[in-house]
Amino acid sequence: MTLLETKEEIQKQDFRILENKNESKWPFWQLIAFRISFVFFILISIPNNPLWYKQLFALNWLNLDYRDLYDICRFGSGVNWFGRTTFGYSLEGYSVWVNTFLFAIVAGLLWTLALKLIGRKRESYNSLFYWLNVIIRYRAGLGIIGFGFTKLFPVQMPYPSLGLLDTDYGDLTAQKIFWLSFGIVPWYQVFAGILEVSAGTMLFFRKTVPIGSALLVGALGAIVVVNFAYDGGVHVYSSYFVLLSLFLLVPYFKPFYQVFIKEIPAKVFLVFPKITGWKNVVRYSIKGFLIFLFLGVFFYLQYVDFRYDPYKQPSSAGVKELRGNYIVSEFTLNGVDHKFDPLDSLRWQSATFENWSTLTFKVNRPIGVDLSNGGGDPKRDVNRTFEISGVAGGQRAFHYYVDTLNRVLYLEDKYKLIPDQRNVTAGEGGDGGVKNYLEEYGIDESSLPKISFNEWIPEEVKSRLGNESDYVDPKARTTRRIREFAKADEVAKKETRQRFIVSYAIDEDGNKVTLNGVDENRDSLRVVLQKVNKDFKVSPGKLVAGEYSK
Amino acid sequence: MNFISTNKTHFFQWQSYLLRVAIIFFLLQSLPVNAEIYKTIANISWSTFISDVFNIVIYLPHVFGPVSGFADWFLVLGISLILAYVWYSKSIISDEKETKYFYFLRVAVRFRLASILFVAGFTKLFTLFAPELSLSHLNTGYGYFENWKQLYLSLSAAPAYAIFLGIVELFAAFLLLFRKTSLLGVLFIIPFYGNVFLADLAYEGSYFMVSAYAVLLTIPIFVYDIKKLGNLLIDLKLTSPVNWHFNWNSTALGKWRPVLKGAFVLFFVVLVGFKSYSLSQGESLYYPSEKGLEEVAGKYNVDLFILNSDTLEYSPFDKQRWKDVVFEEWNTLSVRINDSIKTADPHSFLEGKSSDRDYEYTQVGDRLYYHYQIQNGNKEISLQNPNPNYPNDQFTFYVERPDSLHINLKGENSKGDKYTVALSKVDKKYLLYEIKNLGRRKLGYKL
Repeated sequence: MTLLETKEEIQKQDFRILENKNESKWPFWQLIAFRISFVFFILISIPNNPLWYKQLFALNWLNLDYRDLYDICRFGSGVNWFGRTTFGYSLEGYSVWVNTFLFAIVAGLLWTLALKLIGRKRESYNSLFYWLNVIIRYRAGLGIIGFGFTKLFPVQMPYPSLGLLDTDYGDLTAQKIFWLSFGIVPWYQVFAGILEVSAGTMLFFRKTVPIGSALLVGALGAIVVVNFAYDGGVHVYSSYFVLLSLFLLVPYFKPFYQVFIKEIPAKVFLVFPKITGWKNVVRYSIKGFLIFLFLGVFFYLQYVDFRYDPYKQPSSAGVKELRGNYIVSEFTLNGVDHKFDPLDSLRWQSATFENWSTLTFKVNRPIGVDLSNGGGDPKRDVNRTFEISGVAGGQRAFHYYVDTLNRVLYLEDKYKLIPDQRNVTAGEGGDGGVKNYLEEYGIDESSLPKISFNEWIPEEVKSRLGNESDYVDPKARTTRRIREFAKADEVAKKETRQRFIVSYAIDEDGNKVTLNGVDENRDSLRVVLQKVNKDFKVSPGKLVAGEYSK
Repeated sequence: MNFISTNKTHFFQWQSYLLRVAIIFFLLQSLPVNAEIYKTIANISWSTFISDVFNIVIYLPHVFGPVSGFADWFLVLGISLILAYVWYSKSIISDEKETKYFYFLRVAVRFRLASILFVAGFTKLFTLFAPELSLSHLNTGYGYFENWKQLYLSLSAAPAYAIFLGIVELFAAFLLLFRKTSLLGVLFIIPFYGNVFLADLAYEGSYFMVSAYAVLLTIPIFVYDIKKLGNLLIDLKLTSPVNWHFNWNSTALGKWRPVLKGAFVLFFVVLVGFKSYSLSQGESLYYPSEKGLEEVAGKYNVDLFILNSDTLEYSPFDKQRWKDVVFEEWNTLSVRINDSIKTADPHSFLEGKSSDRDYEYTQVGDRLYYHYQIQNGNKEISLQNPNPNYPNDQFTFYVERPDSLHINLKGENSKGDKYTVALSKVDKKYLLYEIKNLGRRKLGYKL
């Protein structure tokens, strides 16, 4: 026998051993590790917030909104009944994970003890391991698809508004800068979306699990770092996908190492239970339904959202003749003329009318800054604050209703002291921590609006404005939207927003706009705006969200 | 079941042909055909070591444009297809020879790729890659930066992210140094550089072919193992490893192998790493190295502006009056004006020579940039706009500094127009920096 043949002989033996390796008897440590992982991953894969279940049962399945599916995909999980800290530490937001893990250790050990007491011996959990994997696969898959679709139709990072384009770089937060840098290249965002959605889709199928998981570890791992570096606020939620994917990869690590690095034969051991008969019909029906809903229906809903009601960007069209960047050529407050002076703290320095129903202007004095990431689930334009979130430099933004008959704008501040909680059903992630602000600080009387909600828009005008819920294309008039607008007036009464009212006149072929009225302090206000073409060096391209052509 | 790999892989004819196409393609892409690469190699020096090495490792031959583009690749591919056919038809094919060729191709691409990754990785790890933000940039409207510049600025806004990217690149580069770990390295690089390639395209960078090339270099390694990878991870079948590898002891080259590898590591890890580190401790590679006027850096309001004998009031319309002025730590001052700016394209990258650094004034509008020379013992400055679209934009000013907050400039431009400008320092607070200390969870924050 030559040396070579001996080698082959040895290899053949190795193979025989591997082929017949008995996976039905796990070592003791593996049994315990599995029990702990099982408890941990089950807990971290199911929603822990009652609101999630409530919203699920309240859904109108015949008139869905993209956000309905998004909220199904995005939820908080894990052991939160000990609060949101571990021994008093929030651990950068990871405390729920740690608590869940501590709980899982205790549960796993009790589980082991209980089996011992009743004298039952388990040798392996091959089949339970498979089902645990299935749950994690679908949890991670759906979660990332929910995230990915808002990029695939690029609405997660909107293209900067005219006001943002004219805001100095140093007046933005790092978070804002990163989001905008994605917003200016929508096709790149689409690519990121395709990557996330396909990675999620691959988790639905056994064979593509390692590819999908590996992609998720890479993509979401980078997103975790981005969130730490830019203070993006969703580091925990993005880490979540890394954790789940790493667990899905567990069966693959060692064989990969053996074949490609140690260069010995190996095999991935995964046991798939035989599913036959009616059970198989049920299995494929569930799978088919989930794919239909979360890939097919979701695609359509996200398209409608992108087209008519884009996520963070207001959806109602602004007055067409007004849109543009403006110089403020005259400014009279309470009859006092303020000449242009960059140091004047009362005068408007510049202004914009956006494509949608927003007027922005800059003032040279410190103003409250919305430090949220401008996301969340608001349907009302006034609550879509991407144009001022993370923006300083005296940039103010006002949402307006327009009475086209009398040419009057009814404006309200997009900034409010107490921002809405975002991602309500998720319960965590995003900007959730301000609920108790009112109890803690109360409302300062001086910050109450001088023009109350009730006296702001006369009833007669209100009736002419119609239902704001219908300002968008019929396709985008979802049940979620209708329900939120039905509550809008009630909510508005409790909010502390500044409001003002001006009439507008357009002259010089639309290049001059005169605003006349009362400002938020009930002072009389007259502003003459002159349209300018700013020489911006970025351009929106063809992939533009929203419908503002009317 | 035949799962035993034989030591010799059988090559089909098309495989042999493609192998030759690949070998010739990579050889041609390494051919220095442009004068600039000889110039760079000839002028390589310790002071400009990193930028020189960077330019050398990212060099790809080009005939159709100033850098390698799609057209160049098609040309190279065309030539490779033809030459490979000639070579293929003239050679006697044996599996043994093919295996060896393929092996050496993989060795070549591993080290070629590692050379790019080490240099790119170290410049990111030591934050040389993304420049710090200048005061002028902080005081420029977001929309006035061109796309490519936006990418750089966003990396500058949070250096930690670029450092992380550098660590990934270096990790992958180390994995490439060893045959057994090279596949793992490649599995990192394909998505990483695939993403870089798309980002380069999206942000309209001019070196997108380099990232495409990095991905292409992984292909021989990836293709070699792809069947096994699929077999092991997708089909979940028993998979045998490769046992064949070149017996270095059989050739005279074997003795030199550790020496060559050591030299590679010495150059790309020790030298490049050390130099990157020492550069990071010193001056920026993006901004001029000359100091500006003493304690002048900041943003200034233009209180008074007299052009010839006319005092120009503040005006949102005036195109001549300066809106604000920024003095940098170095000898740059920039002026915000009410007019559109003709932007210039950048030509330098990690530039060692101060006078050639063009990052600060290229691909950006909203402001005019001036480099100034201090004369007459801080009493006089002469300004030159470095933007090639403004060759005659020059000033000479007498500088008067009554106190630490005020600067008066008196002088004229190259056309003889007389200027008198009074500046006062603005106590500008930047949200970007303020909020880094405070965090975003603060309520009722005002700025």
